[in-house]
Amino acid sequence: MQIELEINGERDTYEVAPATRLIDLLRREGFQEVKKGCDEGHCGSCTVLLDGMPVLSCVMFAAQADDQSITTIEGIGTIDDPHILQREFVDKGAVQCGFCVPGMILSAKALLEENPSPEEDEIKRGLDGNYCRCTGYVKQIEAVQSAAKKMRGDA
Amino acid sequence: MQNLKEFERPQSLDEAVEKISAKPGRRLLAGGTGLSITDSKTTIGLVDLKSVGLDYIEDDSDAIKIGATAVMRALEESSLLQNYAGGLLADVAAEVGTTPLRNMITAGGNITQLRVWSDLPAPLLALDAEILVTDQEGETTYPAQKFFHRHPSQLLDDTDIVTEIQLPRGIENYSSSYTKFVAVDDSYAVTSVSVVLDMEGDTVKDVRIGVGSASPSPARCPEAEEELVDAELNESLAEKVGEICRANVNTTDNVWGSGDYKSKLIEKLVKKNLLQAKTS
Ligand SMILES: Cc1cc2nc3c(=O)[nH]c(=O)nc-3n(C[C@H](O)[C@H](O)[C@H](O)COP(=O)(O)OP(=O)(O)OC[C@H]3O[C@@H](n4cnc5c(N)ncnc54)[C@H](O)[C@@H]3O)c2cc1C
Ligand code: FES
Ligand code: FES
Repeated sequence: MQIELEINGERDTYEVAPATRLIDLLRREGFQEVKKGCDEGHCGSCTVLLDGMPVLSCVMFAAQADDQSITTIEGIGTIDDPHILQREFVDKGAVQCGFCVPGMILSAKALLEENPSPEEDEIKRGLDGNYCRCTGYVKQIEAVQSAAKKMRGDA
Repeated sequence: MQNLKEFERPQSLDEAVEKISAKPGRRLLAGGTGLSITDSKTTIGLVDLKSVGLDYIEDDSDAIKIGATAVMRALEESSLLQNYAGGLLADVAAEVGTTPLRNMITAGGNITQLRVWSDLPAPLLALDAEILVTDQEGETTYPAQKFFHRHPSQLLDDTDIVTEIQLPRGIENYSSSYTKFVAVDDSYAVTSVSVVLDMEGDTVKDVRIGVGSASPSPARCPEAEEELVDAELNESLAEKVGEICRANVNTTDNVWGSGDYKSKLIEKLVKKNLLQAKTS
């Protein structure tokens, strides 16, 4: 079957089998920044934004995303021109192996769009779907706090 | 899902009924969080409910109506639900899974797939909700007590579509309290307890207790509820009622806890939530 997706701003038609999950379509099409960790909905490394909302691409069929927009980590900034969240994650030392970071930053982005001044508890809740096995989450929460400040323009 | 060949996207409930009944081997798809990781050789087609218009939560004169494809996040953020019976169902939805999962898991999918980790059934039992189901013959309304009495798969055929959950009028001003007891924040419930309470002064006028995840089907505690009505709710009564409830629910072992452990939890959590509902 054919589905139409807008991935990181570019609309295209994709051929998928009905059983194909979204994560497998994305990785097959070269969006390997979408990480496959647990592959069953627990770890959050496969998080993408579907029409702006974080979802887990490993526990949905690709066809469920038909006609919607998908944002991956590479859709929000580049190495030369990173998103404020990406820059803050690096500057605050919030990245160790980095496997969890694409999903975590996307969750943070969705959170800050809804709530530009989150309390620490709200950040923890916004990132609750993204497991990190390296850091202790401390630096990541700090990175989101300082990105929030910069995005609001008060730092 | 190696034999899955078709993906249908009906645009109305009538069309969904037609598509799901057209051939054997078709299954309804809602959020996909259960189905997409299910290995089924017999599923040959999916009928996606996304566009049939069931993603509402609305206020009606006779009930609050929750469409089957409303997601947990919508329940959590609904001011209607936040203001209904102490916000019980909004509180419950807020503790399902994690943030991205709450954007995906639907109310209908959560109650149809009555698994030991499903969080909605027990509070729906405590709220005396009704569940609406549609098939080719028409619509049937099941009281929660009946719907959750057995596994819904024994009650429903593959072609039955859960369309709506209705919350009754008359209890919106009751208070409530809920505990989902978990090993870590985002894991499945070992046991959950929901209390819905109406008081006059210190005297209980009406009360419902729902216990989830402790037994294969969610349970109410009718004997405990009877003991409470017209009595003065204090710590010693709450404790006694916890014991009655513990004796009433036939707990079973699973990887999250032994039956014995869950029984002890029921006793403690019923007491705690009764006292909390009283002061909230
Ligand atoms: C990592 C993870 C964590 C989870 N944590 C929790 C948790 O904390 N609490 C909790 O309660 N659940 C939790 N869940 C389980 C989740 O509740 C189920 O996967 C979910 O209820 C399925 O809902 P869905 O909308 O995704 O349904 P789907 O996966 O689309 O469907 C599930 C089943 O229900 C049927 N179905 C769906 N909608 C209807 C309908 N309207 N009428 C008739 N049949 C229908 C489908 O045919 C299918 O058999 C978790 C799941 C995952 C993957
Ligand atoms: S890979 Fe999707 S949640 Fe772990
Ligand atoms: S940095 Fe390694 S998992 Fe998070």
